[in-house]
Amino acid sequence: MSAWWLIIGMALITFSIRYVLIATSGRWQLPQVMETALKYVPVAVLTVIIVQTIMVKSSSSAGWEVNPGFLLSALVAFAVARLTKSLMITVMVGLVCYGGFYYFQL
Amino acid sequence: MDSSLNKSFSPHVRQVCLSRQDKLRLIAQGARDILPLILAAIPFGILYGVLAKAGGLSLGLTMGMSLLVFAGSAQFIAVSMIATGVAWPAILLTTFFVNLRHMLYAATLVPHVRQMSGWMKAKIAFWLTDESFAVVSDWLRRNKGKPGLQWYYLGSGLLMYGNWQLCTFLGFSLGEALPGMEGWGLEVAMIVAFVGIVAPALTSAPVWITAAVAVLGGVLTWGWPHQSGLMISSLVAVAAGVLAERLAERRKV
Repeated sequence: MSAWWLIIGMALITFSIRYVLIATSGRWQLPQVMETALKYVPVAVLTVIIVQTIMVKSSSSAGWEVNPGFLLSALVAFAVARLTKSLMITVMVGLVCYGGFYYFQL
Repeated sequence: MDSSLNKSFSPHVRQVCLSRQDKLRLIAQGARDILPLILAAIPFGILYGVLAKAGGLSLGLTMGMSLLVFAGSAQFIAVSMIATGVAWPAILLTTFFVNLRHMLYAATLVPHVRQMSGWMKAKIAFWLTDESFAVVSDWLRRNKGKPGLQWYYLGSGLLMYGNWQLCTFLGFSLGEALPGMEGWGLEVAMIVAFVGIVAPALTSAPVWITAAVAVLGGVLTWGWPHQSGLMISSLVAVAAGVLAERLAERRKV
């Protein structure tokens, strides 16, 4: 048949993952320790995504290397975010910082 | 606890508590708060459209995937796998593992969505992405126990969804006009956006410890297949945070 079946399969899998706990949320109570744990999920997941995106496939070896532009932008964004607490300003400054780094690198 | 207070009201009564104006205000606030993340997501949506076209997908299939699946990283991987002729079961399995982190997001929302209607729950689940989760969890942190999550979520989710469709279409249409877009380092947009969420959330020793363990775990598990490194590092970091909180409490008593 067509690739539509693949897309429908992907859609069903993705939606099920997102839906199953939310759909059944009224029927069970989380244990106290889980309620505590969930507070830490956003910082944990987002930090790992940040770190693993700064690490890129090495051009010279089989492993990884740090993308210096990404690292610099992340550090600048961190400082800006702590100072301003504004996500918009953080994103703007971070992007400008990377743009500058990219431009002068080349 | 605020949540136990909410439980004593019937869902009907809680709906009445929010005026039409309050709901609209929350929708607008959700839409406004997700704007920086949309700025960061625009290049990815465009890049997805470009890659899908380069991989030989029709406009219908390219848009269909964005409309029905709505999961950035899974879409990227699927398109590249389709282009290289990988068998469908492998693509579906990869979709499952790459999106498994959303279950962690859903778990975080569980205490806040219990009272909602089935239709609202389905919408919240469908629009659950890294970006909407980042914004919504931040709102929950700053507005503990306040009602109206669904309206805030509606505003942010709808805008994110609409933007993703628009960018997919743009990328597909622009196609060849953007050669080598993969190499521009657009991932930086996601990095700085997520830093902007995480940095202000570091308000206590246990959260700092969570972040530190996440950094370490991220470094150690880089390149693990199907983002298993992401899942495992996150879980270990969460456990470290809980442990740190427990120890801090014990020292206080």
